[in-house]
Amino acid sequence: MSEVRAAVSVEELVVGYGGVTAVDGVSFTVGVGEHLTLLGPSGCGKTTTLRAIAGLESPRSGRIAIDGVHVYDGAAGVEAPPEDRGLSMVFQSYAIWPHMSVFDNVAFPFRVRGVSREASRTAVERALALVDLAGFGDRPATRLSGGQQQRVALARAVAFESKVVLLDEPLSNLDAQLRVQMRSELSDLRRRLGFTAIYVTHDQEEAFSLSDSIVVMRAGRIEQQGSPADIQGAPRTRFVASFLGMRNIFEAEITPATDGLVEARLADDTVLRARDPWGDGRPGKAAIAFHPSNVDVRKHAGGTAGTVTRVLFGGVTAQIFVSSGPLEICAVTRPQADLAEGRPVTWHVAPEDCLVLRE
Amino acid sequence: MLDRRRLLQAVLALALPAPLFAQERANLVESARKEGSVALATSVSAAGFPRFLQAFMAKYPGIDATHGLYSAPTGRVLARVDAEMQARALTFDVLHVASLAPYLAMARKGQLLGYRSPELAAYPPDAATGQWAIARIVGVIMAYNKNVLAPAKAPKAWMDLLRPEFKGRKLIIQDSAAGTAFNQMYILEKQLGADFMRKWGAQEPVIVATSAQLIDMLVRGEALVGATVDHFRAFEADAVKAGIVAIYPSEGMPVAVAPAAIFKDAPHPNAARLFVDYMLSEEGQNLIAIDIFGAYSMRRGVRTPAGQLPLSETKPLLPTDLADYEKAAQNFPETFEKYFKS
Amino acid sequence: MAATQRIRLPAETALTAGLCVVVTALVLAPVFAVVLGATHETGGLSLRSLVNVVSSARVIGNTLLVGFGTTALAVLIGGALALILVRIDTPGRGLLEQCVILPLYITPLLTAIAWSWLGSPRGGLLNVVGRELLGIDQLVNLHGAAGVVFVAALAYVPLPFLLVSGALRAMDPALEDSARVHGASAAHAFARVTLPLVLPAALGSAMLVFVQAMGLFSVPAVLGMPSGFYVAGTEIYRLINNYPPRFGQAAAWGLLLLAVTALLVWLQAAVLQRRSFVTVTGKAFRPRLVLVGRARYSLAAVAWVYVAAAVILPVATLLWASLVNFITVDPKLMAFDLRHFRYVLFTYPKTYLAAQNSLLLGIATATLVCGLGLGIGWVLVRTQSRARGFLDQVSMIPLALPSIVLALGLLWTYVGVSWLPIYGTIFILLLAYVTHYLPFGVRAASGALRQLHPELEDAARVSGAGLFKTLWLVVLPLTRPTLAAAWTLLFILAIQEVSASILLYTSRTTVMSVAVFDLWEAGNVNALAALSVLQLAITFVALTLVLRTRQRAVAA
Repeated sequence: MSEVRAAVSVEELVVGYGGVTAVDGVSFTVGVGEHLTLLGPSGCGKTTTLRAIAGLESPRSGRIAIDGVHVYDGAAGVEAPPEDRGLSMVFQSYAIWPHMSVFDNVAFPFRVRGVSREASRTAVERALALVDLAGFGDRPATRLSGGQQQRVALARAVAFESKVVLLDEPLSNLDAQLRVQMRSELSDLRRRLGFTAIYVTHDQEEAFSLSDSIVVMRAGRIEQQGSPADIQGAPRTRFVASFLGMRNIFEAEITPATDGLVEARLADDTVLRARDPWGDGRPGKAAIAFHPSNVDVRKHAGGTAGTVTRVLFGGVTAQIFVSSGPLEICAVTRPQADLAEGRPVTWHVAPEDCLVLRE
Repeated sequence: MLDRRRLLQAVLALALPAPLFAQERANLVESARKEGSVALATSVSAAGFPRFLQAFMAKYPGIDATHGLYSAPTGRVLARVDAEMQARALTFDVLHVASLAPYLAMARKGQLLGYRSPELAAYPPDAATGQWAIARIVGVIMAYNKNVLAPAKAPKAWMDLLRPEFKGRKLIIQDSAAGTAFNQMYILEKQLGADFMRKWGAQEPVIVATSAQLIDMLVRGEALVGATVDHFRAFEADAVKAGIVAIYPSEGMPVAVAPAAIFKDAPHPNAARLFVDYMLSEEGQNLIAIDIFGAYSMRRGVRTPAGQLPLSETKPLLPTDLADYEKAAQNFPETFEKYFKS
Repeated sequence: MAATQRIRLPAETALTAGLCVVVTALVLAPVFAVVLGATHETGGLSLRSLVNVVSSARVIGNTLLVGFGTTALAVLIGGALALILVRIDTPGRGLLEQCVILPLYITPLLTAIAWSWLGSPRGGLLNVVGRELLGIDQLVNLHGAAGVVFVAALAYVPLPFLLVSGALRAMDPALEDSARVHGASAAHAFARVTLPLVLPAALGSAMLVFVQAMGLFSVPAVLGMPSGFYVAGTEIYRLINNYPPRFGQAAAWGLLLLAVTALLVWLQAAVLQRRSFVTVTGKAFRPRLVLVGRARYSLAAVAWVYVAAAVILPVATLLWASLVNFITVDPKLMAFDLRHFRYVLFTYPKTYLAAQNSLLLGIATATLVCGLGLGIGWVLVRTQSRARGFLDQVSMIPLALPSIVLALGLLWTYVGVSWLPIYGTIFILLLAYVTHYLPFGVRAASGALRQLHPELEDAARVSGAGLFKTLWLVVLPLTRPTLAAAWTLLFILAIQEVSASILLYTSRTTVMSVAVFDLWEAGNVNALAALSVLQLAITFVALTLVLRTRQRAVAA
């Protein structure tokens, strides 16, 4: 076969406990050296999927292969325990062992595989240096700040040079500033060491800034997968669109138009020109979506007429709600004095910012 | 079969010991030594009992008598013996408990080894059957603490126990677990009637688990009269010092026997024979029956312990119908409950 | 086509299956023997034993009276002490808290004997003093139901105290604050917020005390039997000691207690299931102290009264008894005498062998129970295994089975097993102890595991450690504080175990508790006091040393 060998491939994975199906037929592959993110709200099955790859959850069916070897195959009755899968993982809670020193935490993967303390010293110290913790080796793990614990967890995951590193919401317990800093360090680290990463988060900013590809999950199923640009540019479903912050999603009557665009007639009789990346311009009912920051709200300009019903100030921007017939449009703009509650306005969305959803 | 008259005769008779056959003896000692140990199941709880075992081991070096020892109240001893017999994995050789009933039952079931110790030549004929021999005799009497009860007010006869001043936790008796207590109550029921037993129960006596505890409670002044006292307990040094006085009841003293027997499936039959011989020997009797327990021996020529009335002067009372006796023993827990716990 | 990993038995399945086998052998084998024993007589199936037991209305009534009475009193005192020492600015809290749990280290048998010397109806010291000084004929009478309940409650107070004070410490004070902010008075906030929150702990401890009080033996043996007050535990003892022994009926009593407890556990689960409390997070808060002004001295006095009744008075009485020739009504006859110490140290043949055996059994029992507890606890807390229900319920059975009945079951099970010749050896005692205390190990370990973040184990697994390496390198060190406390307690309890031991020991495998109990049955109470004083002294010294070493290890 000519295609690039996958570092990890997941096929028709089903995981459930009792009557609940947490992961329901998920399939994706990650190329060697790629960063794939499982993105979705809590309870969507992304962490369960990651833990199934690690061997920490026992699936009901499906197949998981790591580096071309099936570590789980429901039909064949194959299930390798986590310790035999040759992975590394960074946990949401960091899972730093409080009864060990920083050095012993990082050296643990060597120790359990029978490598002596001395033999592992170089690798452990290099890993600690990589995360800026050189010289911290002798500290008890309990005497570290949250950010430092996070770095120890990372050092432990990369020290053994596993080809695949799993990361389960590694940044979610850090404060906002540290999170941004760690995000870029993480990205540097991966580029330098070249490992394959599978990353779980509910934070779309993290997902889009780190990933080569993104799998958006919802209720145990894959909603959409693709590159960050693909997904950002063309969410396919209401769920993905609203997850990406497209608060304006309305039912519309679609008719074909020129330039590969379509015309969408909304309930307030507004007709918007829109892109239709997932359909082929076929007419009928469908939803359209657009982001609040793409709504152009002004006093008396081109567009549909409406009335400002509510204004919520949020620092440099303001959310403005405009009633337009039976619809309520949400827009985000700079705060403007003349866009006060009760004022008549017009609103408009450019065709490239307006999208037909095809579920 | 024993009957009362003959047993009485036996208790009181005197004769000379027969000579032992030296060669047979040497063979027995040799085989016993090869077996190396003897395991005793016993209900004795005397503090001095280990002295007896030590003396045996000193006389026959190479035969360990402490290894397999189990001592507990009769019921617990039989729990172990029964379980082992059922599983055909008997570890015990010799049974020595202060109650005739289990011996009668076991002899009937063929669970005891036929053995007549040569020492029995010094015993009256009815001190033994082919399966068991009486190694000790315990009388059951009354006792009181002279610091608690004035001697003039003490009972003289079993019937005195029914006096109104002894009602309501003033008497102490032993629980049904004691073989001597069964023996006493069986005999008193026969002698004084079921009505006596009912009235005795109605006195609401304090009930304790062992005769030793009974004396301890008398010493502490917890009640006025001990009514099921193993006679030797009333003559122990501390008890006498603390003011305990024995009463030999005028109707007579129920006598309980503590036989020794060897199990049919005993793992060390020769050592067991040697042990039983030693127990019945003059040295053994003086040690176990007299020095350690302060009880009576059936062996001719063995003295009565200091301070005690000779057996012949105590009006000893014995069961007459052993078949009835054995049957009554089977139901004793329920009989006891009927009289004393309702 | 991807290559395939070879098929193997996952370690979890192996561990779970192994534990199921162990638990079956430990618990179900003797229980099965007990069921057979209770339902069979020579000649086949017979329900006579069961019918006899069920119709013993008086003993059943007494048992329930002691069960409920002891539980109510112990939980009341224990709960009150927890409040006084954790939530109120009582002077001397630190010392008191140490003293209040001391009864755990004193066998209830000793407390009962000491109190029977103090409070028996005629010869009791309190009554003697009362007669001489106050002219009152009978100040107290501890022979009977009241005495049994009083002394048993004294002995079991530490359980509710530990559980309720734990719950009080684990409670977020913000919960009470928010009630106060929303207008509740302090008393109101306490009644409406604090009490309901510690209720599960109080109920849990009540269950624990109740189960033990139902099978109680030594206290009613000393304080109940003399007045004809029999409960299940003493009835079983009597049935087994009697000639002819009534084993079937003894076994049937065991089954009855098991059934009653099972019913109550089920009821408790049904009651607690409807409420979910998330306040006990395993995080310890600094409890907010309530200032009560002068009243705090009275509260301290209340706590000291308990310590005096449960520890100081009994131990002082034992010490006194060990140093006089004998105890009798006439004080002139009593004299200082060291012969009881001489007797137990130099003459009594059981002392040294028993001490050695007890030590070995204590160490082995505590270690095995902690190990098994950790394994079973891990399966219960961490896996979804279908065997969980089985492991959970079966490992809890010994809690409700009086240990003398368990011993009967073990005797019947192992006496004829020639391929496993443990009968008559120290191993059958070990088996009895491990089985009897298994529930404590499982509870302690499950509690510790629930407070341990599962990702700590996941991280080890993904790092390449197998299940057993993970348990050894991560779980064991992290649960060590709880397990060490459990180990110490189990060691003490195993040394005190008497009811199973008296049926299973041999002269070579005799233990301290049997030595003490023999002296009781032999009426040799002063020697018993001397032996107990020695045992208490050694236990105390050993514990102090252990605590020292542990503190030093922590400091290092």
